[in-house]
Amino acid sequence: MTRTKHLKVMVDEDILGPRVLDALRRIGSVDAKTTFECGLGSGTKDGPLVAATADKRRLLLTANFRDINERVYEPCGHGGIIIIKHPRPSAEEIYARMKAFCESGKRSEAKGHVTYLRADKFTIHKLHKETVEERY
Amino acid sequence: METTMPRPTLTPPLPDSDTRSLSNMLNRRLTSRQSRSGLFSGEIKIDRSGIHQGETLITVSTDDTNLEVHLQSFVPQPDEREIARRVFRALTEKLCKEHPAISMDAEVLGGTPHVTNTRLSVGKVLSKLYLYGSIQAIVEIHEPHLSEAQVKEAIAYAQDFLEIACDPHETP
Repeated sequence: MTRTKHLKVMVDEDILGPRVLDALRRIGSVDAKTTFECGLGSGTKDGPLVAATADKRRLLLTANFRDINERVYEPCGHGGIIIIKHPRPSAEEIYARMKAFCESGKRSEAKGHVTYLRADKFTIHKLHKETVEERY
Repeated sequence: METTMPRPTLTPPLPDSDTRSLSNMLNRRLTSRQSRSGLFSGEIKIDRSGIHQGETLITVSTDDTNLEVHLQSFVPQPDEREIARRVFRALTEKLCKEHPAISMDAEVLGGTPHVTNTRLSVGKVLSKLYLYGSIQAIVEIHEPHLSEAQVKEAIAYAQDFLEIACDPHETP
């Protein structure tokens, strides 16, 4: 019997909502917690938040792509960041993209890297500007 | 008579776009004048910390002050996008003073205006209002970190920003 590795994420305050958490927890392969549940306070600064991904061994799930991205936080310098590339991501949108990404077989590659989940494809930014881009 | 050109310094460091612009201007000028007259060969290389000469030492004659004059008179011209960014930045800072519930901190959301002591930008408050339909719903999601007054303040901030930014008679 093979053991499924869950994608452990902590949900940033900006996309937080009961519907978002419920939706993420419906995806069997995702273990979602809020940043508050991970011991981070409201209004945590960007740097400590990203650093916490390594300490907590959880990827940060955020929609804040303007300030948290691979240019500011280089791949492999943290535990991993997943960015929902949408200006107003609804719970359904987040669920659909995360589910599709988890089913792509590439979810383990998100660890330590910066992953963008777009409507129809995902892009994983790795070290030395290496990228993996695939359609769901 | 020849003399070594003093190494000019520009502080603070130039942004990339200005550096490129200065580099192009200098090299065009040098190529057309000094290089042809045999006083200069090579290329001026510039990095963000100042101006650095290339491998060849640049020498200019004392009566040829063109190069030095041009360097001193060089004023980097920011592009339109940069100007717009500065204007909007000034406006967002001004509005933060009028809306104390909204603040800007370079270390939180990269300096985006946000509800004080949260990671909710003004834009995200609007986004949540769009998604969830009511102030109360947003407050419930973020309780106890967010109050109704803070959400209203974020909406008011966004309104003020749009009205001032889009008013052709207003100077931010």
